Amino acid sequence: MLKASIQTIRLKEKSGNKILLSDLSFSLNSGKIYTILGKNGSGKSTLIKSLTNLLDRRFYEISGQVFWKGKDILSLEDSFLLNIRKNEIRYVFQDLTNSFDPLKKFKYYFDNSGFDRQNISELLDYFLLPDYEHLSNLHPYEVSGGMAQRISLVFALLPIPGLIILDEPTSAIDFTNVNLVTLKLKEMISSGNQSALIVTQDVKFAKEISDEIAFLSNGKLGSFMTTENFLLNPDENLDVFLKSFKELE
Amino acid sequence: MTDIILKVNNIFYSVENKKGFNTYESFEILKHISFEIERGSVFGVSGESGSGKSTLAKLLAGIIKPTSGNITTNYKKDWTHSSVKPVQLLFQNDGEILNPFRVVDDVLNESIELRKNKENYNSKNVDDLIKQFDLPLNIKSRKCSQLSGGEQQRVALARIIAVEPEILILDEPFSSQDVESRLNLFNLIKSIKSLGVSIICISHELNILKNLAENILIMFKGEIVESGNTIDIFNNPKHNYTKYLLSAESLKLSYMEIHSFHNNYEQD
Repeated sequence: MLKASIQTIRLKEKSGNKILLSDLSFSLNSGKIYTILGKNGSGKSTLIKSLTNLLDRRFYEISGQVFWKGKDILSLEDSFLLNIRKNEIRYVFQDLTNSFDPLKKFKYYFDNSGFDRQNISELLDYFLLPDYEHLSNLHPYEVSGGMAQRISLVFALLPIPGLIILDEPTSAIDFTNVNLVTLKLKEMISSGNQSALIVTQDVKFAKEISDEIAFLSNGKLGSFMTTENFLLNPDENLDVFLKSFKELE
Repeated sequence: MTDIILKVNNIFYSVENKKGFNTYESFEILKHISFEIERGSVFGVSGESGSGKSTLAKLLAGIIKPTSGNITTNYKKDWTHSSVKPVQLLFQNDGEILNPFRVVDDVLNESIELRKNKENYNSKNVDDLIKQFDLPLNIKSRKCSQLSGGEQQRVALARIIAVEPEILILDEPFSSQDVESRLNLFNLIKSIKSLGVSIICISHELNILKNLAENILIMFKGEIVESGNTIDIFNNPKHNYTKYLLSAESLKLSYMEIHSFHNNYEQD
């Protein structure tokens, strides 16, 4: 469904361009949950932003292609790109309270989602959120981080996207919510037409939810392996990572 | 007899919310809180967000006063004429614990100056602290804004330990860190413990507390639902909420379990 082959992502600097990530090639099929594991600062967020051309080209230089249903996203015109971002590839970002406009009530987002009250209410109920009426009158800064994340997830799931990309879904929310997110994602992919890409540093969560995992370190992405194989055959860098994880458990 | 450093006796904490013109309603954040902390131990506090963990931390640190009930302490040193408190609190690490414009050397020196010349002070300088907290030596001349999240947290901890507190409160120290930094911090907390400091660690992650704390208490909606020896609680949780938290953490809950739990507790 999505096939990425990106040679390099560079940061433009006065003193020459700095390579942030290189040799990113992978393909994602529908009906599966993929996870990219990596440490803080390993470039996870940059990687997922590059997939729908969200990186600001004034500061970043990307060489490569990302194919979505046969078309190269990175060379698409804006109108097509916006449509893909709106209906087909949806994101749930890490900094959620700030991914909503603080001056607009949630009513604004409900009205502009293009979905009726019934659809939205069902998902709100699923994620244990306040009802449509109540939430419509709240501003984004009036809800907690965990709630903002679930609201963002509701908006991401509404158009039934082909791919949903989640950035650190487990950071700073409690386990009940992580549990709910896990259940919903598994339910979502079971239809067979949708898939999810998660970037996280949470090994335990990755282990629980993923069909396939890849490890990102030193600017390079390893290949996707099934969760079992991945945990059995760790490469050197990953080994340290997993060891720390085991020692904490 | 066990050596108790801090004893909390039936604390209540409430705030007043404005209801209408000149009418207020009182809202209880903490109810019936009582527990004891053994000297030199690590004490864990857990519960979901909004259960009152951070409020409890502020009460213990003396930042806010309880509405009723009291906290009694039994310190080894005499703190009456000291300019610093025997209880120190490390706030949640959101990158804003240190003044971004100050130089690390300056920050650490300030703490050292505060306790210098007091009795029983193990004379220390900035270099000793940097070594003790496993920081790079060149960090001294850097500004706090130039530190990574993990380094900031270490410097903030070093600053606190420099005044040799008897109780250290950590509020969600593990949140938003990767596994490696977590392990480093975990070991650091253990080494601070070995200095004889009693530690109260607040975290919503039970798995980390399991290996760190001798005793824990579980909070739910401002009340203690369960407390006692950590291993006992893990092996044999009594309260439904504790059981719920433990299975939530291993991501083993079904949709029905989550929803019925929330519907049961939403009513009150």
